[in-house]
Amino acid sequence: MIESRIGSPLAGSTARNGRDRSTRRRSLPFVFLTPAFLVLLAVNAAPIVYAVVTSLQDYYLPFPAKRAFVGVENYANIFGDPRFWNSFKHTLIYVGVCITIQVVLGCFIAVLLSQQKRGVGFIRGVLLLPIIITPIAVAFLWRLMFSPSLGLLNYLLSLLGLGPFEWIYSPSQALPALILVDVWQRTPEMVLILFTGLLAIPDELVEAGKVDGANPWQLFWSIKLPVLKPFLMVGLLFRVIDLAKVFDVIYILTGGGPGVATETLSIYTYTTGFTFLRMGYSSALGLLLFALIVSLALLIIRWGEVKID
Amino acid sequence: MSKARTWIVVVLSALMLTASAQTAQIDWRQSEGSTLVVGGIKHAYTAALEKLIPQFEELTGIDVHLEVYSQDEFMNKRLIDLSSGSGIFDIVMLDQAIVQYARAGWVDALEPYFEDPTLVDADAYGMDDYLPAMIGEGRVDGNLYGLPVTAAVQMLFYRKDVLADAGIAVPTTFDELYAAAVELNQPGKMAGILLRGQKIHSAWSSVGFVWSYGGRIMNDPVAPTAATFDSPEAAAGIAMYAKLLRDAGPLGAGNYTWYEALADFQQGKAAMYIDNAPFMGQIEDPKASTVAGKVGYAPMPAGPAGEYANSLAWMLSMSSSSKNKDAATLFLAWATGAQMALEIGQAAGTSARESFYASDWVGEHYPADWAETFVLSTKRANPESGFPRIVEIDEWLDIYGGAVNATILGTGTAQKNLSEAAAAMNRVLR
Amino acid sequence: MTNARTTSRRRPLDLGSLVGTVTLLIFMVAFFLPIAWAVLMSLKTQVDALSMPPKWWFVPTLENYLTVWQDGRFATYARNSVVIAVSATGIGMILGVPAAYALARFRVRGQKAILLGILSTRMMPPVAFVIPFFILFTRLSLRDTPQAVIIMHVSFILGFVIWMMRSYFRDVPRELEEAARVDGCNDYQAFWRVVLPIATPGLATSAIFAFIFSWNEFLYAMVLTTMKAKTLPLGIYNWIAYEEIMWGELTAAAVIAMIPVVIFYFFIQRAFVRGLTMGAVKG
Repeated sequence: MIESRIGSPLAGSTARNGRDRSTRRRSLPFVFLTPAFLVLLAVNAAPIVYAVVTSLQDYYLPFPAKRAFVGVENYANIFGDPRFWNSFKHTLIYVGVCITIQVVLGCFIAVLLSQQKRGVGFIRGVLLLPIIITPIAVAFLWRLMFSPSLGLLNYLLSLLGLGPFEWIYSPSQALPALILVDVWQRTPEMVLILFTGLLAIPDELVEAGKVDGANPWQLFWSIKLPVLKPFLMVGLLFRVIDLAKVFDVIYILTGGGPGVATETLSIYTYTTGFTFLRMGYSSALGLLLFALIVSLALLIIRWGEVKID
Repeated sequence: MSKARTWIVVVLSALMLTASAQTAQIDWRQSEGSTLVVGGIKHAYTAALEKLIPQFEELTGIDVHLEVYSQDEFMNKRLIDLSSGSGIFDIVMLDQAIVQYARAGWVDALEPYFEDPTLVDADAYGMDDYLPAMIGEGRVDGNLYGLPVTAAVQMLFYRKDVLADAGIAVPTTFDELYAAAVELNQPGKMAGILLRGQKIHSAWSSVGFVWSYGGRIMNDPVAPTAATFDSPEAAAGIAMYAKLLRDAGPLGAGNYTWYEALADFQQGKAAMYIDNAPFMGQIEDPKASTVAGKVGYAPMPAGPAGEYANSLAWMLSMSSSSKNKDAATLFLAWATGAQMALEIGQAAGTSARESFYASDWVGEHYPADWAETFVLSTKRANPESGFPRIVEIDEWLDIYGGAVNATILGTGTAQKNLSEAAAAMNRVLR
Repeated sequence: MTNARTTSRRRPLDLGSLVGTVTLLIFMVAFFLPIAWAVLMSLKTQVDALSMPPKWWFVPTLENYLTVWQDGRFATYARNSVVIAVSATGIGMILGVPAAYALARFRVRGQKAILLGILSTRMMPPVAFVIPFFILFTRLSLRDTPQAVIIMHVSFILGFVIWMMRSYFRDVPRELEEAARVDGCNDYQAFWRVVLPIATPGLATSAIFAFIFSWNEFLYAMVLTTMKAKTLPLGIYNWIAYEEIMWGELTAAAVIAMIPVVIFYFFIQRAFVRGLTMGAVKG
C-alpha cells in the first residue's frame, strides 16, 4: 500500500551532509520497537502454549495420574453445554449494553466538560475517583448499596416514592445491576480519553462551524466527532476487551448468581477450573473466551476503521 | 503423710506449675530451629491462635508463621499450593474440601504421627474429648485427616421481645416455625425468618431440613456412590425451606449469604434466624449489633423424622508436601490438645471439645440457653456427614445448592428441581 | 476567553452553558456519591455503618483508620504497591512510548500483525492464564516477588500505552519533525526534543491509566504472591472475616489506598496542563 504522504520519511529529504536519507535504513523503528516486542513475547509465549496443551487434555486436578490427551473432546463438550451458551449470552449482553451506555454517556459528558470554562481540573479529579478506588472495595461497597434491606439505593429511591428493588438479589434485575456498576466505574475512563481527544480539535474548525450557523449538536456530529473518532475507537476497543474479561467485580457482587443469572464466560471458566477442578475443560473455556475477545476486537477494528497499517 | 511424702508432693507440684502447663511426656524441643507456615482464614480462631503462638515458639524453639487470608482468597491459595506440591504451607485450615484433599493425597492421614509416642502424648492430648459430630468431619475413608478447631451447629435465633409482644411461644417444630414466621412477617420492616438462600450457601443450611424430614443426601455416609436427595422426604424438607423464605423471608432472600442474613438480624430486620451457632458472638456484640441482649437461643425445630441440625467444623490438616512434618505434628498436638483448649477456646469463642462447653468460663460468658442448646445439638449424632464424603464436593454445592436455590426463587417445585439435580449429580460422580 | 461572539448571541449561549454546567454537576454527584458513602462509612462504627435508615448524624471515629494503619502488614502492602505500580508504569512507558512512535510514523513490515500481537496480550483473560503464569513464575523461582507482578503488569500496560500513544502521535503534525530534521536533528532527537513535549497530554493520560491499572490489579497479584509481595488490593481483603465484613476498616483501607493515586494524578495533571498550553499543535 503506497501512500504518498507529505513529509513521509521516504520522500527524498537530505541531511546536511548530503547523504540521501531514504536509502539509509532508519534504525529508529527497530530500536524502538524491539524491546517492547521481546518483553511481550517472552512473557506470554509459554503460558499460551501451556493453556492450549491443557485444553486438549482431560485433567481432573485431584487425580493428576489420570491426566490424558483427548484431543478436541473438551471443545466438543463445550458446544453441547447449555451452561456455556448461557454464559456466552450473558457475556455478549453485558459487553454490548455496557459499551453502548459508556460511549454515549462518555461522549455526552466529555462534550459538556469541554464547554466548561471553570473548574475543569476539579471535575476531572472527581471523575477520576470511581476509577481510582480499588475495584474490590467498589464491589463490596455496591453489594451493600444494593442490599434490599440495608442498602443506600433502595433508601434513596424510597425517598422518591419508588418501590424497593431486589437488584443483585433477583435473577431478572441482577445483570442490569451489574451493568450499572460498570457504567458507574468506567464511564469516567471514556470521558477522559474523549476529553483529551476533544482538546486536540483545532479551534478554527469549531469557530468556522459556528459561523456557518451550526447548532451544538451539528457541531458535534459533523465537526468534532470525525476528529474524535480515532480516540473513540481505541478507547472503545480497550473497553470492550476489558468488559469481556471482567471477573472480580462480578464474582464479588453475585458470584454468577442468583443461580446462573449473571454467570459470564469469565466466571464459568473460573468455576470449572478453580471450583470444579476440571482443568482441561476450564482451559478450553478460557481459550474460547480469548477467541471471543479477539473476534470482537477484529470486528471493532474493521468497523471502526481503526488504522493499523 | 510422712515428711518425705510431703516433700515429694511439694516438689512435684512446683515442677508441674513451672512446666508451663504442658504435662505431655514428650520432648517439645526435638524440632528446635525449624520453621512452620500455617495457612488459615481470617477467623476468631486464627486471631486467637496468633496471640498464643509465641507460647508455642518459646516452648519448642520452632518459628511459626501464621498466614491469614479471606476465605475466597485462601481457598484458591490452598488449592494451588497443595495440589502443586509447592510445600509453602505446612498446615492448613480445611473445611468440607477435606474429602477431596484427602483422596487426592494432598493432606496426610494423621494416625502415624499421633500414634507416635515421641511426638504426641495420647493421654495429655485427649482425643475422646472431641464432640463426636466434629471429629467425624475429619475422618475420610476410616482415617483421620483433620483435627477440628471450631464447632458450629444450626441453631434458632429469635427475638425474645418480638415473640413475647406477639404472644408466640418459641417454635419447636417446623410447622410451628412457619406459622410464627408468617405471623411475625412485616414486609419492608421486619422479616419473619432469615435463612441462607444463595445457591452455594443454602446447601449446608438446607441439609438439616432434609434430615429432619427423613431424607438423606447420599446413599452411604462413608463412601457414597449415588445421590439420594431426590426422595419425597428430602423434597418435603426443601419445600418447607423454600416456603419459609418465600412467605416470610426478606426481599431478595434468593441470593442471601450469611453476610446479608447476619447483617439483617444484627440491624433488627428479622424476628427469627436459623444459622451457625457461633454467630451468637456477633449478635451479642453491641459494637456490631443493635439487638444484643434481646435474642434467645433454641434448638433447630424438629421435622416429622426428628430434630436434626447440621454441623460444621474447621479443621487443621497437614500438607503432604510439608518438609517439616515432625514439627507440624508438635504444633498440631499443642494447638488442638486438651491443655490449650480452654485458653484458645476462650480467645476464639469456639472449640470442638466438650470440656470447653462444660467449663465455668462458658457459663459466665455465654447466654445460658445458648450453651445448653449447643451441647444438646452437637451430642446428637448426624445421620450422615454434614457434607457428603465425595471428592466432587464443590459440584455438589453447585448442583444440589442450585436446586434448593431454584425452589426458593420459585422456578419449579422442590421435587422437580431435586430430581433433575440428582440426575446431574450422578453423572458427575466418578 | 475572548472570541468573536456577537452580543446578540450572548444570552442563549449563557443559558446553554448553564444547563450544561448543571447537567455536569448532576453527573458529578452521581459519580461522587458512592465514594462519599465509603468515606462516611470509614468514619463510622460497624453498627452505625450498616444502620438503615442511614445515620447522617453520628459520632465519627478514627478508630478504623488507626486499626488499618497499625496493622503490621499494611506498610508492607503499601510499599509493595508503590514499588510495583511505579516500576510497571515506568517500564511500560519507557518501552511502550517509543514503540508507539515507531508504529505511528514508520512503515514497519508486518505492522498489522505486530499491533494485533501487542493487543492480544491484553486480550488474554486472566482467569484462563493465571495457573500457567503461576507455574511459569514458580519455575523461574520468582513466586512471591514484586518482580513477577511487575512483569505481568508491564505486559498489560504495554498494550494500552502503545495503542493509545500511537493515536496521539499520529495527530502530531509532521511539519514539526520535518522542521527539526532540517535543523539537523536525527530521528531520535526529533522524537525527544520535538514530538514528546507536544504529546505530553497523551503521555499524561497514558501514565495515569497505567498507574491506576497496576495499583488496583487484583487477580495476578493474588495468585503470584503469598506473603512478601502482597499489594494493597489484597490488603482490603483482610477485612473480610469469616463471620462479618468489617466495613469501617475496609472503607478506611480503600480510602487510604486512593491517596497515592490522587497524589500521582496531581503531578501528572501539571504535565498535562503544561502540554496543553504549549499550543504548538494548534499553530
